[in-house]
Amino acid sequence: MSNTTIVPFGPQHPVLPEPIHLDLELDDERVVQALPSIGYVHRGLELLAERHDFIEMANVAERICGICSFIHGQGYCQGVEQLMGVEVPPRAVYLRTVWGEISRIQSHLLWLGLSADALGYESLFQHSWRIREMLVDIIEETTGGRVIFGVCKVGGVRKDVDDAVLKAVKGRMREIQTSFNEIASVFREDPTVKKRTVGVGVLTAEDAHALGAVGPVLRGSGVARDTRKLGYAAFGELDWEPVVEQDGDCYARCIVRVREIDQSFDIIAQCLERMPDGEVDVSVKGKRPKGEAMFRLEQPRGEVCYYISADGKKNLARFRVRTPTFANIAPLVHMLKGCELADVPVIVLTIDPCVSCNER
Amino acid sequence: MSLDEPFNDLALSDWVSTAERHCAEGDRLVQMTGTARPDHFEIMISYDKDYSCTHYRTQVPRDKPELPSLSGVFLAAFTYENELKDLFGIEVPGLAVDYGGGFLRTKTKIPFSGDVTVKKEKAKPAAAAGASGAEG
Repeated sequence: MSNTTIVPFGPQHPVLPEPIHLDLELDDERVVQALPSIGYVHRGLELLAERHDFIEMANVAERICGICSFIHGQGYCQGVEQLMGVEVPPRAVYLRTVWGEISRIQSHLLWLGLSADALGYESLFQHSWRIREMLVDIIEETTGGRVIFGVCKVGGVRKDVDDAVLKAVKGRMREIQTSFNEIASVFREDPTVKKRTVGVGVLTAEDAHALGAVGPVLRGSGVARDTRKLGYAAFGELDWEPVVEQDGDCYARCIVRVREIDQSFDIIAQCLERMPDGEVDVSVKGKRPKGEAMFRLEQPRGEVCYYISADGKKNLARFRVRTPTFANIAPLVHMLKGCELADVPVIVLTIDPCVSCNER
Repeated sequence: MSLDEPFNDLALSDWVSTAERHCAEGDRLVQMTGTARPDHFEIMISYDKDYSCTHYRTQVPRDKPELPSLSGVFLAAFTYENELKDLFGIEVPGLAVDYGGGFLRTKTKIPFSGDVTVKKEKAKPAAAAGASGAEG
């Protein structure tokens, strides 16, 4: 006779900002099996692409998620531009890269704050979000938005940023990086953080590959794969390498994000140094996308895929988004198998689940 | 970025053997998705190696919407296959972790079945057909 107990985890849980449910089958305190279910906030945004003008759809794509909002808009626009054969001006490409990397930093800082909170570090949570707020202020000053940037459009970007403002941003980014390094050492070295994360939720490189893991989950398992290496936006012209940690545990995934924040500061500095002059958009009036293709970008949580199919009409025939959180569900189920019940929140958190993305 | 990575047509009977070949070659399963067409479901899959993607497309007939599971080859396929089941109503025999249609808790059951995704083009009168082309 089976002696296991089923414990529901979520959809409402202190470590989950958004709803996801796990049925945890327990043998005493050990997880035998975890069965996830999603869809609590499924919005059917993909269907909207079949009804809305492809130009307007860029706004919907950006609203897939409030954290990776800009990169969703960027991915959609890049895909449609390629299908239309539109070449975006270099300045717009660099501005997109800067905003994308600011998004990555603020997303990772948001995650660091949540993880600090989950580990019981209330002040570290507040410091992480205090620094994140400085970045959100820069986003607001350069785009006008704080959550939804609203600057990416098919053909380029909606607004240019004055060179004097960019120079000021460069100085402020250095100050923010200094502030970040003060708290980064806590995530790197604090004994309690290590106690809760080292050796917990281990995912080997082989399993990460076989289970289709992406982003910091994959790179934390020693696999040097980062979709930015495809060279989209300005990444092909910049000097950077994927951040990799070898141990595959919760600590490794945390440190990948800490190091990626530093790397993004460096990428932004390179972009601001090399910012080209010129226009920030081209007219796409009268043009319509035709054909189909799969486009991939690296979001803060990992590789995102956009499948776009268009037949030359004003709306797309199909728009499909495979989000990084969806790809990381199978690795999560694998990591939870055999872990202690008390470690479940930390393991779930280290895939940085974005339910809004998942339930586009 | 991706326009040089076309979708290759694949017979449904070669669905599993192609996955086994890619698995043996060390490829990664990137994604699976579907599109409802008027007469069939189109299922697409992507494998990746060294940042290079290979895409396939197969057809699942509407009168027998059944797709053999790849979860025995790539365990990661179980999430995509449950999604196909919940969004398109496709049966996936051999599915390693089968949620029985309860993976995605959508308000509308099987929302991408085709009634709302792609409608059949209405037959146009011969005289009007030549003058069309100015949609929306």
